[in-house]
Amino acid sequence: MSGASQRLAHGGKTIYGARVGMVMVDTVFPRMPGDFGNMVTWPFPVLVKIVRGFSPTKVTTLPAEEMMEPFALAAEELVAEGADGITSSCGFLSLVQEELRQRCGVPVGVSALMQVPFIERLLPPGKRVGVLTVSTQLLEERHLVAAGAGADTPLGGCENGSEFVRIFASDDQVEVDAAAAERDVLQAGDALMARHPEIGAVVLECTNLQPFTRALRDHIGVPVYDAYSFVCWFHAGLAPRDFGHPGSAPRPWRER
Amino acid sequence: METIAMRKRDLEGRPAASGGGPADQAGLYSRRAHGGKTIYGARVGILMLDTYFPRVPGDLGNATTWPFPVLFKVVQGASPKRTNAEREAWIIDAFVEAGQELVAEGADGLTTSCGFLSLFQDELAAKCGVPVAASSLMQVPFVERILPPGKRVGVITANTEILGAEHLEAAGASRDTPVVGAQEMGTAWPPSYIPREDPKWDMAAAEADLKAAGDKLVSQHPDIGAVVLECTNMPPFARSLSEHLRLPVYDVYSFICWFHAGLAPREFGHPGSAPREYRER
Repeated sequence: MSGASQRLAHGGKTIYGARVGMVMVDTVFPRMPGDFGNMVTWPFPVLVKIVRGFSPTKVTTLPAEEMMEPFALAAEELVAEGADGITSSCGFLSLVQEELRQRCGVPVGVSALMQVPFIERLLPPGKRVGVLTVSTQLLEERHLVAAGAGADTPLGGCENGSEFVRIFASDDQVEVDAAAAERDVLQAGDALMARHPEIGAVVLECTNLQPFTRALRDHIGVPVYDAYSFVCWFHAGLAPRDFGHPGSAPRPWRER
Repeated sequence: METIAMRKRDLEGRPAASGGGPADQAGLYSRRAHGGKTIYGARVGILMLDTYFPRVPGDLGNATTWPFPVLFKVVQGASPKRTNAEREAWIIDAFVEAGQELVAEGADGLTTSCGFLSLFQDELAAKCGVPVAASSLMQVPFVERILPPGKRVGVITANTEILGAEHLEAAGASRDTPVVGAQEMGTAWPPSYIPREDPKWDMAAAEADLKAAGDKLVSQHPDIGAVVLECTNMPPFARSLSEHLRLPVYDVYSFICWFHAGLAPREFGHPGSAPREYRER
Protein backbone atom coordinates (compact mmCIF):
# COMPACT_ATOMS: atom_id res chain seq x y z
CA MET A 1 0.00 0.00 0.00
CA SER A 2 1.48 3.35 -1.00
CA GLY A 3 1.37 6.33 1.34
CA ALA A 4 -0.37 8.44 -1.29
CA SER A 5 -3.42 6.22 -1.65
CA GLN A 6 -3.71 5.93 2.13
CA ARG A 7 -4.28 9.67 2.40
CA LEU A 8 -6.86 10.06 -0.36
CA ALA A 9 -9.16 13.05 0.30
CA HIS A 10 -12.87 12.76 -0.46
CA GLY A 11 -15.14 15.63 -1.51
CA GLY A 12 -18.85 15.93 -2.29
CA LYS A 13 -19.69 19.29 -0.77
CA THR A 14 -18.54 22.90 -1.08
CA ILE A 15 -17.29 24.05 2.34
CA TYR A 16 -15.29 21.83 4.70
CA GLY A 17 -14.41 21.97 8.37
CA ALA A 18 -17.63 23.65 9.52
CA ARG A 19 -19.70 20.66 10.56
CA VAL A 20 -22.55 22.40 12.37
CA GLY A 21 -25.03 24.51 10.39
CA MET A 22 -27.07 27.08 12.29
CA VAL A 23 -30.40 28.47 11.20
CA MET A 24 -30.84 31.88 12.78
CA VAL A 25 -33.81 34.00 13.71
CA ASP A 26 -33.75 37.45 12.04
CA THR A 27 -32.63 39.75 14.89
CA VAL A 28 -30.82 43.06 15.37
CA PHE A 29 -30.18 43.05 19.14
CA PRO A 30 -26.55 42.78 20.27
CA ARG A 31 -25.11 39.29 20.48
CA MET A 32 -22.14 39.39 22.86
CA PRO A 33 -19.34 36.83 23.10
CA GLY A 34 -21.00 33.72 24.50
CA ASP A 35 -24.22 34.36 22.59
CA PHE A 36 -25.12 31.72 20.04
CA GLY A 37 -24.98 34.30 17.25
CA ASN A 38 -21.51 35.61 18.06
CA MET A 39 -18.98 33.64 16.05
CA VAL A 40 -16.19 33.94 18.65
CA THR A 41 -18.38 31.85 20.97
CA TRP A 42 -17.69 28.62 19.13
CA PRO A 43 -14.50 26.63 19.60
CA PHE A 44 -14.96 25.26 16.05
CA PRO A 45 -16.08 26.83 12.75
CA VAL A 46 -19.79 26.90 11.98
CA LEU A 47 -22.02 27.82 9.03
CA VAL A 48 -24.85 30.26 9.61
CA LYS A 49 -27.99 31.09 7.64
CA ILE A 50 -30.40 33.82 8.70
CA VAL A 51 -34.05 33.14 8.01
CA ARG A 52 -35.05 36.65 6.95
CA GLY A 53 -38.41 37.95 8.09
CA PHE A 54 -38.63 35.58 11.04
CA SER A 55 -38.20 37.97 13.94
CA PRO A 56 -38.33 37.03 17.64
CA THR A 57 -41.98 38.09 17.73
CA LYS A 58 -42.88 35.81 14.86
CA VAL A 59 -40.88 32.86 16.14
CA THR A 60 -42.52 33.01 19.56
CA THR A 61 -46.06 33.48 18.32
CA LEU A 62 -46.52 31.86 14.90
CA PRO A 63 -47.95 28.36 14.63
CA ALA A 64 -45.23 25.78 13.97
CA GLU A 65 -46.61 25.04 10.51
CA GLU A 66 -45.79 28.53 9.28
CA MET A 67 -42.15 28.23 10.33
CA MET A 68 -41.40 24.76 9.05
CA GLU A 69 -40.88 25.53 5.39
CA PRO A 70 -38.54 28.54 5.66
CA PHE A 71 -36.43 26.98 8.41
CA ALA A 72 -36.27 23.63 6.61
CA LEU A 73 -35.22 25.35 3.37
CA ALA A 74 -32.44 27.21 5.16
CA ALA A 75 -31.30 23.99 6.81
CA GLU A 76 -31.27 22.13 3.50
CA GLU A 77 -29.13 24.88 1.98
CA LEU A 78 -26.67 24.61 4.87
CA VAL A 79 -26.38 20.86 4.35
CA ALA A 80 -25.74 21.34 0.64
CA GLU A 81 -23.02 23.87 1.44
CA GLY A 82 -21.24 21.63 3.90
CA ALA A 83 -23.02 21.28 7.26
CA ASP A 84 -23.23 17.74 8.63
CA GLY A 85 -25.66 18.60 11.41
CA ILE A 86 -28.24 21.35 12.02
CA THR A 87 -29.06 23.46 15.04
CA SER A 88 -30.88 26.75 15.62
CA SER A 89 -30.48 30.04 17.44
CA CYS A 90 -33.73 29.79 19.40
CA GLY A 91 -34.91 27.27 21.98
CA PHE A 92 -38.52 27.85 20.91
CA LEU A 93 -37.72 26.22 17.58
CA SER A 94 -38.12 22.81 19.19
CA LEU A 95 -41.41 23.15 17.32
CA VAL A 96 -39.63 22.55 14.00
CA GLN A 97 -37.30 19.77 15.26
CA GLU A 98 -39.38 17.00 13.69
CA GLU A 99 -39.79 18.73 10.34
CA LEU A 100 -36.07 19.46 10.07
CA ARG A 101 -35.18 15.96 11.20
CA GLN A 102 -37.33 14.54 8.42
CA ARG A 103 -36.07 16.83 5.72
CA CYS A 104 -32.36 17.34 6.28
CA GLY A 105 -31.02 13.79 6.27
CA VAL A 106 -28.39 14.75 8.87
CA PRO A 107 -28.60 14.87 12.68
CA VAL A 108 -30.71 17.79 13.91
CA GLY A 109 -30.74 19.30 17.39
CA VAL A 110 -32.54 22.63 17.27
CA SER A 111 -33.20 23.43 20.92
CA ALA A 112 -31.20 23.42 24.14
CA LEU A 113 -34.39 22.17 25.79
CA MET A 114 -33.66 18.74 24.32
CA GLN A 115 -31.08 18.31 27.09
CA VAL A 116 -33.74 18.29 29.81
CA PRO A 117 -34.52 14.54 29.89
CA PHE A 118 -30.83 13.72 29.43
CA ILE A 119 -29.77 15.77 32.46
CA GLU A 120 -32.62 14.43 34.56
CA ARG A 121 -30.94 11.00 34.37
CA LEU A 122 -27.74 12.30 35.97
CA LEU A 123 -29.22 13.88 39.07
CA PRO A 124 -29.53 12.41 42.55
CA PRO A 125 -32.99 11.00 43.30
CA GLY A 126 -35.57 13.66 44.12
CA LYS A 127 -33.72 16.31 42.12
CA ARG A 128 -35.21 17.79 38.95
CA VAL A 129 -34.20 19.90 36.00
CA GLY A 130 -35.62 23.42 35.84
CA VAL A 131 -35.81 25.56 32.70
CA LEU A 132 -34.98 29.24 32.55
CA THR A 133 -36.43 31.03 29.53
CA VAL A 134 -36.61 34.58 28.29
CA SER A 135 -40.22 34.81 29.46
CA THR A 136 -42.57 32.22 30.89
CA GLN A 137 -45.35 34.07 29.09
CA LEU A 138 -43.80 32.97 25.79
CA LEU A 139 -42.61 29.44 26.57
CA GLU A 140 -45.52 27.05 26.28
CA GLU A 141 -46.09 23.41 27.01
CA ARG A 142 -45.84 22.65 23.28
CA HIS A 143 -42.24 23.86 23.20
CA LEU A 144 -41.26 21.59 26.10
CA VAL A 145 -43.07 18.54 24.79
CA ALA A 146 -41.58 18.95 21.31
CA ALA A 147 -38.15 18.88 22.94
CA GLY A 148 -38.91 15.68 24.87
CA ALA A 149 -39.10 17.51 28.21
CA GLY A 150 -41.91 16.94 30.68
CA ALA A 151 -44.87 19.31 30.38
CA ASP A 152 -44.59 19.86 34.14
CA THR A 153 -40.93 20.96 34.02
CA PRO A 154 -40.42 23.82 36.52
CA LEU A 155 -40.10 27.10 34.59
CA GLY A 156 -38.58 30.45 35.37
CA GLY A 157 -38.39 33.56 33.20
CA CYS A 158 -36.80 36.99 33.07
CA GLU A 159 -40.15 38.77 32.60
CA ASN A 160 -40.02 40.54 35.97
CA GLY A 161 -36.78 42.30 35.08
CA SER A 162 -36.36 45.56 33.22
CA GLU A 163 -33.82 44.72 30.54
CA PHE A 164 -33.51 41.12 29.34
CA VAL A 165 -37.00 40.67 27.92
CA ARG A 166 -37.15 44.26 26.65
CA ILE A 167 -34.12 43.57 24.44
CA PHE A 168 -34.02 39.88 23.64
CA ALA A 169 -37.72 39.43 22.87
CA SER A 170 -37.73 42.55 20.71
CA ASP A 171 -37.53 42.94 16.97
CA ASP A 172 -35.85 46.37 16.89
CA GLN A 173 -33.74 47.08 20.02
CA VAL A 174 -30.04 47.53 19.23
CA GLU A 175 -28.50 48.20 22.64
CA VAL A 176 -28.41 46.16 25.82
CA ASP A 177 -27.13 47.00 29.28
CA ALA A 178 -25.33 43.75 30.01
CA ALA A 179 -25.18 44.45 33.74
CA ALA A 180 -28.94 44.99 33.91
CA ALA A 181 -29.59 41.94 31.75
CA GLU A 182 -27.37 39.84 34.02
CA ARG A 183 -29.25 41.12 37.08
CA ASP A 184 -32.53 40.00 35.48
CA VAL A 185 -31.07 36.56 34.82
CA LEU A 186 -29.70 36.09 38.35
CA GLN A 187 -32.95 37.25 39.89
CA ALA A 188 -34.91 34.89 37.65
CA GLY A 189 -32.59 32.10 38.81
CA ASP A 190 -33.17 33.01 42.45
CA ALA A 191 -36.94 33.01 41.96
CA LEU A 192 -36.87 29.65 40.19
CA MET A 193 -34.74 28.06 42.92
CA ALA A 194 -36.92 29.54 45.65
CA ARG A 195 -40.10 28.17 44.08
CA HIS A 196 -38.55 24.78 43.35
CA PRO A 197 -35.90 23.84 45.89
CA GLU A 198 -35.81 20.36 44.32
CA ILE A 199 -34.03 21.73 41.23
CA GLY A 200 -30.64 20.04 40.81
CA ALA A 201 -29.69 21.54 37.43
CA VAL A 202 -30.99 24.23 35.10
CA VAL A 203 -31.31 24.34 31.31
CA LEU A 204 -31.38 27.70 29.55
CA GLU A 205 -33.86 27.84 26.70
CA CYS A 206 -32.66 31.13 25.30
CA THR A 207 -29.37 31.34 23.41
CA ASN A 208 -28.94 34.99 24.47
CA LEU A 209 -28.57 33.80 28.07
CA GLN A 210 -25.28 32.04 27.31
CA PRO A 211 -22.95 34.96 28.16
CA PHE A 212 -24.44 34.78 31.69
CA THR A 213 -24.44 31.00 32.13
CA ARG A 214 -21.29 30.98 34.23
CA ALA A 215 -22.43 33.82 36.44
CA LEU A 216 -25.80 32.12 36.93
CA ARG A 217 -24.20 28.82 37.87
CA ASP A 218 -21.88 30.54 40.34
CA HIS A 219 -24.88 32.39 41.77
CA ILE A 220 -27.41 29.55 42.17
CA GLY A 221 -24.84 26.79 42.81
CA VAL A 222 -26.26 24.07 40.54
CA PRO A 223 -25.02 22.96 37.09
CA VAL A 224 -26.40 25.06 34.22
CA TYR A 225 -26.63 23.73 30.66
CA ASP A 226 -27.37 25.85 27.60
CA ALA A 227 -27.20 25.75 23.81
CA TYR A 228 -23.42 26.15 24.07
CA SER A 229 -23.07 22.89 25.99
CA PHE A 230 -25.62 21.29 23.67
CA VAL A 231 -24.02 22.30 20.38
CA CYS A 232 -20.49 21.50 21.60
CA TRP A 233 -21.70 17.99 22.46
CA PHE A 234 -23.52 17.72 19.12
CA HIS A 235 -20.32 18.71 17.30
CA ALA A 236 -18.20 16.24 19.29
CA GLY A 237 -20.01 13.36 17.62
CA LEU A 238 -20.09 14.90 14.14
CA ALA A 239 -16.32 15.49 14.22
CA PRO A 240 -14.73 13.48 17.03
CA ARG A 241 -11.45 14.90 18.24
CA ASP A 242 -8.31 13.47 16.69
CA PHE A 243 -5.98 12.65 19.60
CA GLY A 244 -2.98 11.89 17.42
CA HIS A 245 -0.36 9.27 18.05
CA PRO A 246 -0.65 6.38 18.77
CA GLY A 247 -4.43 6.07 18.44
CA SER A 248 -4.44 7.90 15.11
CA ALA A 249 -2.62 6.92 11.91
CA PRO A 250 -2.46 8.14 8.27
CA ARG A 251 -5.72 7.34 6.53
CA PRO A 252 -8.13 8.62 3.89
CA TRP A 253 -9.64 12.05 4.66
CA ARG A 254 -13.36 12.58 4.45
CA GLU A 255 -16.12 14.55 6.08
CA ARG A 256 -19.03 12.66 4.51
CA MET B 1 -12.95 59.33 49.89
CA GLU B 2 -14.11 55.76 49.99
CA THR B 3 -12.92 53.82 53.00
CA ILE B 4 -12.64 50.12 53.47
CA ALA B 5 -15.28 50.37 56.18
CA MET B 6 -17.71 52.04 53.74
CA ARG B 7 -17.05 49.43 51.15
CA LYS B 8 -17.60 46.66 53.65
CA ARG B 9 -20.87 48.18 54.79
CA ASP B 10 -22.07 48.34 51.19
CA LEU B 11 -21.21 44.75 50.58
CA GLU B 12 -22.89 43.53 53.73
CA GLY B 13 -25.92 45.62 53.03
CA ARG B 14 -26.53 44.02 49.65
CA PRO B 15 -29.71 41.95 49.47
CA ALA B 16 -29.16 38.21 49.06
CA ALA B 17 -30.83 38.20 45.64
CA SER B 18 -28.04 40.15 44.00
CA GLY B 19 -25.51 37.85 45.64
CA GLY B 20 -22.56 39.96 44.61
CA GLY B 21 -23.16 39.16 40.95
CA PRO B 22 -23.58 42.37 38.96
CA ALA B 23 -22.48 45.77 40.02
CA ASP B 24 -24.51 47.20 42.82
CA GLN B 25 -25.86 50.73 42.63
CA ALA B 26 -22.71 52.28 44.07
CA GLY B 27 -20.69 50.58 41.37
CA LEU B 28 -18.92 48.30 43.82
CA TYR B 29 -18.27 44.67 43.22
CA SER B 30 -17.67 41.89 45.66
CA ARG B 31 -14.99 39.47 44.60
CA ARG B 32 -15.22 37.48 47.79
CA ALA B 33 -14.16 33.84 47.24
CA HIS B 34 -16.07 30.98 48.81
CA GLY B 35 -14.49 27.71 49.93
CA GLY B 36 -15.81 24.51 51.46
CA LYS B 37 -13.67 21.91 49.75
CA THR B 38 -9.96 21.15 49.37
CA ILE B 39 -9.15 21.18 45.64
CA TYR B 40 -10.63 23.69 43.18
CA GLY B 41 -10.87 23.85 39.42
CA ALA B 42 -11.22 20.11 38.83
CA ARG B 43 -14.99 19.70 38.64
CA VAL B 44 -15.21 16.14 37.32
CA GLY B 45 -14.12 13.20 39.47
CA ILE B 46 -13.23 10.00 37.63
CA LEU B 47 -13.58 6.64 39.39
CA MET B 48 -11.06 4.28 37.85
CA LEU B 49 -11.13 0.51 37.68
CA ASP B 50 -7.85 -1.01 38.88
CA THR B 51 -6.11 -1.64 35.51
CA TYR B 52 -2.59 -1.90 34.07
CA PHE B 53 -3.03 -1.79 30.29
CA PRO B 54 -1.83 1.29 28.40
CA ARG B 55 -4.16 4.25 28.23
CA VAL B 56 -3.04 6.46 25.33
CA PRO B 57 -4.08 10.08 24.63
CA GLY B 58 -7.84 10.00 24.02
CA ASP B 59 -8.43 7.30 26.63
CA LEU B 60 -10.47 8.43 29.65
CA GLY B 61 -7.61 7.37 31.89
CA ASN B 62 -4.99 9.52 30.17
CA ALA B 63 -4.97 12.91 31.83
CA THR B 64 -3.91 14.73 28.63
CA THR B 65 -7.22 13.70 27.04
CA TRP B 66 -9.19 16.27 28.99
CA PRO B 67 -9.38 19.94 28.04
CA PHE B 68 -10.01 20.71 31.75
CA PRO B 69 -8.49 19.37 34.96
CA VAL B 70 -10.04 16.26 36.50
CA LEU B 71 -9.57 14.30 39.73
CA PHE B 72 -8.85 10.59 39.46
CA LYS B 73 -9.33 7.93 42.10
CA VAL B 74 -8.44 4.29 41.54
CA VAL B 75 -10.76 1.83 43.26
CA GLN B 76 -8.10 -0.58 44.49
CA GLY B 77 -8.80 -4.22 43.80
CA ALA B 78 -11.69 -3.45 41.42
CA SER B 79 -10.22 -5.15 38.37
CA PRO B 80 -12.38 -5.37 35.23
CA LYS B 81 -12.72 -9.11 35.81
CA ARG B 82 -13.84 -8.84 39.43
CA THR B 83 -16.09 -5.87 38.67
CA ASN B 84 -17.73 -6.78 35.39
CA ALA B 85 -17.44 -10.55 35.00
CA GLU B 86 -17.55 -11.80 38.57
CA ARG B 87 -19.59 -8.87 39.86
CA GLU B 88 -18.19 -9.02 43.37
CA ALA B 89 -20.68 -7.37 45.69
CA TRP B 90 -18.24 -5.21 47.67
CA ILE B 91 -17.20 -3.25 44.60
CA ILE B 92 -20.23 -1.00 44.36
CA ASP B 93 -19.72 0.06 47.98
CA ALA B 94 -16.06 0.76 47.23
CA PHE B 95 -17.13 2.93 44.27
CA VAL B 96 -19.58 4.85 46.43
CA GLU B 97 -16.93 5.40 49.07
CA ALA B 98 -14.35 6.53 46.50
CA GLY B 99 -16.97 8.79 44.91
CA GLN B 100 -17.72 10.40 48.26
CA GLU B 101 -13.99 10.96 48.80
CA LEU B 102 -13.68 12.66 45.42
CA VAL B 103 -16.62 14.92 46.24
CA ALA B 104 -15.06 15.80 49.59
CA GLU B 105 -11.78 16.59 47.83
CA GLY B 106 -13.41 18.85 45.28
CA ALA B 107 -15.29 17.03 42.51
CA ASP B 108 -18.73 18.45 41.67
CA GLY B 109 -19.72 15.57 39.37
CA LEU B 110 -18.62 11.96 38.93
CA THR B 111 -17.97 9.57 36.09
CA THR B 112 -16.33 6.14 35.81
CA SER B 113 -13.72 4.46 33.66
CA CYS B 114 -16.09 1.80 32.31
CA GLY B 115 -19.27 1.93 30.23
CA PHE B 116 -20.57 -1.21 31.92
CA LEU B 117 -20.89 0.75 35.15
CA SER B 118 -24.25 2.15 34.06
CA LEU B 119 -25.21 -0.47 36.66
CA PHE B 120 -23.74 1.80 39.36
CA GLN B 121 -25.42 5.02 38.13
CA ASP B 122 -28.36 5.12 40.50
CA GLU B 123 -26.47 4.11 43.61
CA LEU B 124 -23.65 6.59 42.95
CA ALA B 125 -26.10 9.43 42.29
CA ALA B 126 -28.12 8.59 45.38
CA LYS B 127 -25.17 8.32 47.75
CA CYS B 128 -22.69 10.89 46.44
CA GLY B 129 -25.18 13.76 46.15
CA VAL B 130 -23.74 15.23 42.94
CA PRO B 131 -24.64 14.67 39.28
CA VAL B 132 -23.27 11.37 38.00
CA ALA B 133 -22.53 10.42 34.40
CA ALA B 134 -21.47 6.83 34.95
CA SER B 135 -21.55 5.48 31.41
CA SER B 136 -21.18 6.69 27.84
CA LEU B 137 -24.18 4.47 27.05
CA MET B 138 -26.41 7.09 28.68
CA GLN B 139 -26.03 9.10 25.47
CA VAL B 140 -27.96 6.52 23.43
CA PRO B 141 -31.47 7.94 23.96
CA PHE B 142 -30.17 11.49 23.51
CA VAL B 143 -28.46 10.71 20.20
CA GLU B 144 -31.56 8.86 19.05
CA ARG B 145 -33.53 12.12 19.32
CA ILE B 146 -31.31 13.97 16.84
CA LEU B 147 -31.28 11.36 14.07
CA PRO B 148 -33.45 11.42 10.95
CA PRO B 149 -36.62 9.32 11.23
CA GLY B 150 -35.99 5.60 10.67
CA LYS B 151 -32.38 5.92 11.83
CA ARG B 152 -31.21 4.47 15.12
CA VAL B 153 -28.17 4.36 17.35
CA GLY B 154 -25.83 1.38 17.39
CA VAL B 155 -23.40 0.55 20.18
CA ILE B 156 -19.90 -0.81 19.91
CA THR B 157 -18.66 -2.36 23.13
CA ALA B 158 -15.31 -3.82 24.15
CA ASN B 159 -16.94 -7.07 25.10
CA THR B 160 -20.39 -8.44 24.25
CA GLU B 161 -19.78 -11.24 26.72
CA ILE B 162 -20.30 -8.62 29.42
CA LEU B 163 -22.69 -6.09 27.87
CA GLY B 164 -26.27 -7.24 28.32
CA ALA B 165 -29.74 -5.76 28.17
CA GLU B 166 -29.48 -4.74 31.82
CA HIS B 167 -26.50 -2.46 31.13
CA LEU B 168 -28.43 -0.79 28.34
CA GLU B 169 -31.55 -0.47 30.41
CA ALA B 170 -29.65 1.00 33.36
CA ALA B 171 -28.32 3.64 30.94
CA GLY B 172 -31.82 4.48 29.67
CA ALA B 173 -31.18 2.83 26.28
CA SER B 174 -33.65 0.35 24.85
CA ARG B 175 -32.85 -3.31 25.43
CA ASP B 176 -32.97 -4.01 21.70
CA THR B 177 -30.29 -1.44 20.80
CA PRO B 178 -28.02 -3.02 18.16
CA VAL B 179 -24.69 -3.97 19.76
CA VAL B 180 -21.47 -5.36 18.31
CA GLY B 181 -18.42 -6.34 20.35
CA ALA B 182 -14.96 -5.35 19.22
CA GLN B 183 -13.70 -8.57 20.84
CA GLU B 184 -15.57 -10.55 18.15
CA MET B 185 -13.20 -9.22 15.47
CA GLY B 186 -9.81 -10.39 16.70
CA THR B 187 -7.62 -10.52 19.76
CA ALA B 188 -7.02 -6.80 20.48
CA TRP B 189 -10.14 -6.25 22.60
CA PRO B 190 -10.82 -5.95 25.43
CA PRO B 191 -7.56 -4.41 26.66
CA SER B 192 -8.44 -5.61 30.16
CA TYR B 193 -7.28 -9.07 28.97
CA ILE B 194 -3.74 -7.77 28.43
CA PRO B 195 -1.50 -9.47 31.00
CA ARG B 196 -0.18 -7.27 33.77
CA GLU B 197 3.31 -8.76 33.36
CA ASP B 198 3.52 -7.66 29.71
CA PRO B 199 1.26 -4.63 29.37
CA LYS B 200 1.51 -3.86 25.64
CA TRP B 201 -1.35 -3.10 23.28
CA ASP B 202 -1.12 -3.04 19.48
CA MET B 203 -3.00 0.15 18.66
CA ALA B 204 -3.13 -0.65 14.93
CA ALA B 205 -4.81 -3.98 15.64
CA ALA B 206 -7.17 -2.30 18.11
CA GLU B 207 -8.16 0.27 15.48
CA ALA B 208 -8.60 -2.38 12.79
CA ASP B 209 -10.82 -4.52 15.03
CA LEU B 210 -12.88 -1.50 16.05
CA LYS B 211 -13.45 -0.56 12.41
CA ALA B 212 -14.37 -4.17 11.63
CA ALA B 213 -16.89 -4.05 14.47
CA GLY B 214 -18.31 -0.87 12.97
CA ASP B 215 -18.56 -2.52 9.56
CA LYS B 216 -20.42 -5.44 11.08
CA LEU B 217 -22.78 -3.12 12.94
CA VAL B 218 -23.81 -1.16 9.85
CA SER B 219 -24.01 -4.21 7.58
CA GLN B 220 -26.29 -6.00 10.04
CA HIS B 221 -28.28 -2.84 10.73
CA PRO B 222 -28.38 -0.52 7.70
CA ASP B 223 -30.62 1.81 9.71
CA ILE B 224 -27.75 2.84 12.01
CA GLY B 225 -27.48 6.64 11.93
CA ALA B 226 -24.89 7.16 14.67
CA VAL B 227 -22.65 5.09 16.91
CA VAL B 228 -22.11 5.28 20.66
CA LEU B 229 -18.91 3.73 21.99
CA GLU B 230 -19.39 1.99 25.34
CA CYS B 231 -15.75 1.62 26.20
CA THR B 232 -13.57 4.40 27.60
CA ASN B 233 -10.53 2.99 25.76
CA MET B 234 -12.18 3.73 22.39
CA PRO B 235 -12.06 7.56 22.04
CA PRO B 236 -8.51 7.47 20.57
CA PHE B 237 -10.11 5.78 17.54
CA ALA B 238 -13.43 7.65 17.43
CA ARG B 239 -12.31 10.11 14.75
CA SER B 240 -10.97 7.41 12.48
CA LEU B 241 -14.06 5.25 13.05
CA SER B 242 -16.38 8.16 12.28
CA GLU B 243 -14.59 8.84 9.00
CA HIS B 244 -14.57 5.15 8.15
CA LEU B 245 -18.30 4.61 8.78
CA ARG B 246 -19.22 8.13 7.63
CA LEU B 247 -21.40 8.42 10.72
CA PRO B 248 -21.34 10.56 13.87
CA VAL B 249 -19.62 8.77 16.75
CA TYR B 250 -20.26 9.69 20.38
CA ASP B 251 -18.10 8.38 23.18
CA VAL B 252 -17.18 9.05 26.79
CA TYR B 253 -15.12 12.03 25.67
CA SER B 254 -18.14 13.78 24.11
CA PHE B 255 -20.22 12.77 27.14
CA ILE B 256 -17.89 14.08 29.84
CA CYS B 257 -17.03 17.28 27.97
CA TRP B 258 -20.76 17.97 27.82
CA PHE B 259 -21.18 16.98 31.49
CA HIS B 260 -18.40 19.38 32.47
CA ALA B 261 -19.89 22.21 30.41
CA GLY B 262 -22.82 22.38 32.81
CA LEU B 263 -20.76 21.92 35.98
CA ALA B 264 -18.44 24.78 35.00
CA PRO B 265 -19.94 26.82 32.16
CA ARG B 266 -17.41 28.64 30.04
CA GLU B 267 -16.55 32.19 31.03
CA PHE B 268 -16.93 34.39 27.92
CA GLY B 269 -15.61 37.58 29.48
CA HIS B 270 -16.65 41.14 28.69
CA PRO B 271 -19.37 42.37 28.44
CA GLY B 272 -21.42 39.38 29.57
CA SER B 273 -19.18 38.79 32.55
CA ALA B 274 -18.30 41.17 35.38
CA PRO B 275 -16.43 40.99 38.68
CA ARG B 276 -18.41 38.90 41.13
CA GLU B 277 -18.11 36.51 44.01
CA TYR B 278 -16.11 33.37 43.31
CA ARG B 279 -17.59 30.05 44.25
CA GLU B 280 -17.55 26.50 42.98
CA ARG B 281 -20.23 25.20 45.34
